Amino acid sequence: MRVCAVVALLSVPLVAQVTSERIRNSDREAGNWLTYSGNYQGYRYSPLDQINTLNVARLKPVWMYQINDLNQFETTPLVVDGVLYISEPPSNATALDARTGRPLWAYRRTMQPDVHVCCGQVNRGLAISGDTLFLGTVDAHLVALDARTGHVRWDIVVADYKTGYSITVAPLVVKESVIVGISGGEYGIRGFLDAYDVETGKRNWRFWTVPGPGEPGHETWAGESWKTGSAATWVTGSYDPGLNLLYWGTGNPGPNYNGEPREGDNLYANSLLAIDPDTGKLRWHFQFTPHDLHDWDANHVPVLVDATVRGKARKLVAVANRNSFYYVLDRATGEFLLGKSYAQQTWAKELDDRGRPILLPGKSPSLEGAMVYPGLHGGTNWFSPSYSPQTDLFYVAAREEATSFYLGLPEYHAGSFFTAGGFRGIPGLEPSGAVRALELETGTKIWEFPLHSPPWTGLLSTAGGLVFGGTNEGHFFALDAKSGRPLWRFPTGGPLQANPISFLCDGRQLVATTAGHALLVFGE
Amino acid sequence: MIHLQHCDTSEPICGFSDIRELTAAGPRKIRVALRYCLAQVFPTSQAPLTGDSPALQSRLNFRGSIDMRNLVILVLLSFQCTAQNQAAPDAGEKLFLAHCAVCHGPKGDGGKGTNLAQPRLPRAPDDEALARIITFGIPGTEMPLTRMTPQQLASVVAYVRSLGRVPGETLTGDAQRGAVLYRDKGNCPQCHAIHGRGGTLGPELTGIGARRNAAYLRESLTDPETSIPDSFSSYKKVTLIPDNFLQIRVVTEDGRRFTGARVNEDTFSIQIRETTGRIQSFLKEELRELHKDWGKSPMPSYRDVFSRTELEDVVAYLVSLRGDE
Repeated sequence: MRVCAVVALLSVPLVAQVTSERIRNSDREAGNWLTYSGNYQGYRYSPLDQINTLNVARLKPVWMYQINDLNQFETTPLVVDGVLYISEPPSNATALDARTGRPLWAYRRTMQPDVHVCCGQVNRGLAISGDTLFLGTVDAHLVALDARTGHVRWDIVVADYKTGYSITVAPLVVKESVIVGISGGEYGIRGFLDAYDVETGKRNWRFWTVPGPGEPGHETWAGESWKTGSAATWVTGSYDPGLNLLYWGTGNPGPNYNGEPREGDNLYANSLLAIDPDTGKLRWHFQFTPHDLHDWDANHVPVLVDATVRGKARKLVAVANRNSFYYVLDRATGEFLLGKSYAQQTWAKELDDRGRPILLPGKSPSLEGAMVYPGLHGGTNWFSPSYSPQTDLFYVAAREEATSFYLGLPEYHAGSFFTAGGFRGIPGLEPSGAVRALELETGTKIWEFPLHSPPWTGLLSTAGGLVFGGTNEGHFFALDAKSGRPLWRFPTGGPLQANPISFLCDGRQLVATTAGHALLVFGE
Repeated sequence: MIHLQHCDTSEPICGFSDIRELTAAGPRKIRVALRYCLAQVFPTSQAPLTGDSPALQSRLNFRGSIDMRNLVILVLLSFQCTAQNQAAPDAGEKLFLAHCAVCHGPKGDGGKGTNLAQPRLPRAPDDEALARIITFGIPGTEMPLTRMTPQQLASVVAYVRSLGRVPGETLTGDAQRGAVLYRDKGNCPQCHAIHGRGGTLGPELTGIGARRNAAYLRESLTDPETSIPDSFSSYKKVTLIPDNFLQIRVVTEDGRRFTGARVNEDTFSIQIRETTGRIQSFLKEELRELHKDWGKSPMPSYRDVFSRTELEDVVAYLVSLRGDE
């Protein structure tokens, strides 16, 4: 009897215990996908090589699973011993048999009608510890589910959704904590990052991403503006077990487009934070876009790589930022090592030797509109980059799109949009995109694969020498990781707005992505 | 404490929720508020809002001077009262100019976008419907969504409604004569369809009079390339089908040449409609050349085809095409 899951005997537990130690050693169990980015380092890389440059052309659909909700389907499935655990919009969870796609259980949450989410009631995935799954909800709860049945173990309030807080991020389990970020940067929330005990749901710590009175960084906010300073934490971070540091990006300051009420650098908006996961204390921070006026969130998966830079072995963190610059920092100290544009940008003359942008004039939002590259949606966005240890290349889905930025009035009403401005596309200027491969240490572009329109989906690299990606027009495709040459594609018929993964079922390598309102699984 | 007659001081004031919050605010916040109120009262003067005049700053940097501070608050209040008494459309006009005028024209009488200076808006029979369209856009059209505060939204709605009370352009042409010219002398149905009858090379014209104003249509007849529709802007996160009639020229690997209007395109393929109406679909990897003629239109100018009177007749006919209105 061929079985995909460990379910042959009733006496065998359905779910093996997933520990932080197992996630730490995820490369030893390449058949599973235990955490949002596949490993703690944020690689979104599969060590599997059954599907490779020679046979990928034969890839075909194995099964599909369709959801019953019209919000974007952005989940990264977790795969544990033959079961896929997915979130579905708005805040649901389902376990699927990896062999057939048949549901094993479903958690369905009744959603309040007055939930505020700027850009769709979405969810990007689950986290697992032991046999407990963690789901953040758009009504700003964190829910612990029994991975065997989907039954609720605990359900806690993280924040008051009525004031614009919501959760869309996939949580991250580090040791005995589940780390969860918050959304609501368009509603003038005060951002934070939280850690909860995986067993009890008791909060271990909260780090406010907008410092309060008396805290360092508070002076970078004029007057009372810190109270509505946003700096949301809506994309999953990375973790270095050796340094015991958590790396997490923060979003735009509030209000988005009008900086007048919040004069100053607005720490820790648009920053990368290095936080001690045991205490929630900030070790260092790096702000990519001080006093941001263009909604260029730094909500990206940070990629942690050890490499030699300028003759010195370093522990690095690499980020392709929404502001169109690629950054390499020393992840032990936060020291700026490199910043180089990877997509068109017209807002900064250059970065100075500490990584601070030297601004060009005339790019701030105005009543008449100021056209800037990158536009509101950035040179890239929330979807994941990928790093392949095999090629030592950093892959990013890049967007080439300008928008005009308009200035509006900064009027705050709890639970209402607090962006103080807006944006428009540029008539007659067709935007485009590309998958780009950058040399990790230098940011030098090695190759690019052009895309018809700016992408909304992330990348997966594999030991089979492949990079998987997707398009708005509905293609799921595979490129040669060394050259960018297209090797395979499948028209799914729905826009891809997700991040692919790979895993084993019955010893056979499969690749999964969402497209439109379906999860699709491919195999040779 | 300051008191002003004929002014509701419990109302939001220049970004503050009420007068108590204003009087408790620090100098910087008051300075910001002053600039907004200036802009609100004098919508045509953008200097107070966008300029960061050092003179204004130093004057308002009243470091502990209670008299100066009270004076500024008084000024703010008077601005606010002026704004209150001027009623909402004033702020609405400013927002309209920033967000809507690029398509709907500075006077709202249309252009690329619908003529809003008419008493009845077919898609927005009441204020609630209008607010919904502004907030969510109109899916499948060039009308994007715009996020505003409830107050801003109300002021734009009020302003758009006020446009309908202004008489529109008077048309001199005869629509019935225009219909005949459209069909015969202009030979327009060869490329354009009305109610699904006619050609497919150009935009469908069933509701063109509800979407474009007379000046725009006149210009499209005499100078077709002045404004070519586009549908790919970033407000359309996912473009199912572009409707910009982009002119495409391709050469296949075996040397065959094709031209036509783009029907659809993705990373790997492109579909065009030839002048015969036939659809050709190409994989890009099989093309030797792919040219996109941005700004080009296959439509001839009718400047020398129609007399001035005839042109006005055709314009009147096109304006009369209101679709299902």
